[in-house]
Amino acid sequence: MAMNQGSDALEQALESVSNDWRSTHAPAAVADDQLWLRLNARRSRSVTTTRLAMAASFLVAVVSVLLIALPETKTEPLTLRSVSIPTGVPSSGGLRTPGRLIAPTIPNTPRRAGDVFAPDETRENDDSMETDDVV
Amino acid sequence: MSTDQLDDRALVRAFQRGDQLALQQLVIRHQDRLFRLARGWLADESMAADATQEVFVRSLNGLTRFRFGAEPFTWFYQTLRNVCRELNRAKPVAESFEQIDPAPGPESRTIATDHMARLRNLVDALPERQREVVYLRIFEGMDVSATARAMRCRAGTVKALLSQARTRLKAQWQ
Repeated sequence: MAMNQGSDALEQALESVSNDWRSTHAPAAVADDQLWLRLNARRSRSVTTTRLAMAASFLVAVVSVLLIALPETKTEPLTLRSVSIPTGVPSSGGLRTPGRLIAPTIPNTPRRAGDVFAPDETRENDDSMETDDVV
Repeated sequence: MSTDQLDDRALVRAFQRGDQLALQQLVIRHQDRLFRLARGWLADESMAADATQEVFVRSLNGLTRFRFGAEPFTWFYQTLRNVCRELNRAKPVAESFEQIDPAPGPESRTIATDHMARLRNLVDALPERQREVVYLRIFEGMDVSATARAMRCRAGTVKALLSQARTRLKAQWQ
């Protein structure tokens, strides 16, 4: 009996506390202008972040394209345009491959018996010939 | 259809489509309940108001990515729990909100008020999960399934926690 009375009293107290609890409302400060200012600030910040992210990804794309394209545009003038290919070079059959020039070997000059070509002389000959041809 | 006639999910969808009035409606709809629950977890009313406002500020990003795996209120409530934990960690408090002196108060205080104050103290002294279920199921009057969704547990767990809480309160009440 006493147990039931205690239980009833508890239930009544719980009911009273619940009613009191539910009668509480959020103060105006929760949803005042400050909240909407904070929300707007957050929103504009996120819009700015999105725009910055888009600009950054666009820049990355442009730089990537440039990086891919640049080596090709550099290679071409270096190999084919800036190196003037001597014409009429007496050669022993120097081979030209795209992008690579193989220097001709020492010209075949008639050798006579007893001629000695020291290695240094050979290089000199080679250089002088090249200079001549460029003109 | 005006926004106040839409349910929470429809409001979140409207917000995700860019309707700012939908967020306002969600704020109006949930601010009282969230504030009351925040008051239960925090030390004072101004902190509870700050926590409630912080939930809505966080909702701007959170609800944008909301995937409807749960009810929007569950998202609000779980965010509120996180905010309250953060605030309690930052500023630990010895007493919870409105810990009213259980001793007899001024003459104007009625017996009923004393009983309420005593009971609030007993509830505030419950283990966290039992206290949570009392707040949601008894004080807020949410049904078992809604309480379970908010607490992210099963309905059976809610019932068990509630039974444990009642047993404990009864033992201390007498």
